[in-house]
Amino acid sequence: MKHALLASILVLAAACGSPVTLQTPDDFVVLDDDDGPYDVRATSAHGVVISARAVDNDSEGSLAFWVDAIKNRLRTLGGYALLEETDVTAASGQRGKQLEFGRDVGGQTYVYWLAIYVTGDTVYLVEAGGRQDRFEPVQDRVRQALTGVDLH
Amino acid sequence: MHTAMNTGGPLAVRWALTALAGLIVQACGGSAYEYAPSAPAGGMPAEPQPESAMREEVYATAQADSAGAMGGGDWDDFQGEEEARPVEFASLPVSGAVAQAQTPRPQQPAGQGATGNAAQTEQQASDAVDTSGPLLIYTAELILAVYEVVQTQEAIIVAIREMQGFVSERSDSHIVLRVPARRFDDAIGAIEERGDVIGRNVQALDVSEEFRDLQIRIRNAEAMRDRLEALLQRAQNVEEALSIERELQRLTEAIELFKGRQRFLADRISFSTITVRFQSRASEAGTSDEFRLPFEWLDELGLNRLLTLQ
Repeated sequence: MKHALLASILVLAAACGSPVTLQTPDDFVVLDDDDGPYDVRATSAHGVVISARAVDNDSEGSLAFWVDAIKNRLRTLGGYALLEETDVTAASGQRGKQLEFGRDVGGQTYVYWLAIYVTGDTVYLVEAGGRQDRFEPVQDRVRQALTGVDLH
Repeated sequence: MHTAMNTGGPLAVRWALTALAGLIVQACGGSAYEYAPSAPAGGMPAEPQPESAMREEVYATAQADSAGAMGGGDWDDFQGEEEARPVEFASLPVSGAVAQAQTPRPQQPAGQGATGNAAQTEQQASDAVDTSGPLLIYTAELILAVYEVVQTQEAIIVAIREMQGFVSERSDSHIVLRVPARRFDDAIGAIEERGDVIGRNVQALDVSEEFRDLQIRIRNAEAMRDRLEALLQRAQNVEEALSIERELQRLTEAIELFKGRQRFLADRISFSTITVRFQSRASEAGTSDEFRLPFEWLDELGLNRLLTLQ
């Protein structure tokens, strides 16, 4: 009886916790982001931001479907340039796709990276972005963060 | 004798002028003296023989959109470009038939090293147009992602200049390029190499009929002018001379209008126009062909939401 109660508590704890664990770089701080769509978000002192979140995949779209949908939304409707597309694997083993975009905003060039992982009923989105000149010095650590996620 | 001249002479001249005026009306707006079919003497090739995949695509679209679909609409497009287009041309039949089962054969450029002197370019182009084949005006609009706009513009301009093209217009968000028609495909390829193309619209407009019709009208009007000038030499009094000169003036103006339109067409045939815009397709006015998947979180992607820290 005691064992069953303990297991239930652990399951509930897992259910209530964040569905994604993000390994943020050392010089980033985690933001209190209760009202936003992100499960976790962190920023550098220079405004380079990393975030992770999980959204329901009720429609059971495949990884290829969501990658195409996201590319279309950002390129066609957002004016983002798709600079690179690579296969990635999360720390917890799920295979995903990383898209690297660029876009000029107010005369400045920005970088926006997005790693997408799909399990049966969840789409995991790990995003990173910032001004290009501030992003490039930390981009190796950002890349590690995008693939170092633990998806529950 | 003098009296006879005053009664019989003006009547004869008036009759001649009336007849000539009728001919002028025919030359300027009515049917031409002679009519040359738009197809060259040798006839069109039986099968389309596109020179590249892009032109093949254009022609496939053109065939689908034929039966005048581009006729009136494309005329409207030209109105914006041709500021001094005479009113008379509004009634001219525009060759609206898009190339159908024809081999696109872009004209040679008017001259090498064009530098943007539009008038000079138009004159050179008019002289250089080879009318033995279909006369096509190629235009393209490419939408590029908004990324490193300044650097991308510079790179595109360098590539276009290497092709003897030039910049017709430039702003922060778009550039209008003119390239020799024979380098049209190369220019499109060069632009695609230098930016992420998220939208593309390429068109070929067949103006063969209109161009050849203008040639005939100019030839007829010039012949008529010569006859009027000869008649002017034989004018017996001031009234006759003034009447003939008025007709001569009208005819000369008509000839200039025809030639102006012909030069404009020749310029557009010899140099293709490529507009490159840096924007998202959603920001295009009147865009209705875009769809939005019904997943709200897709709208939250991007820099705007991610970088809002407040």
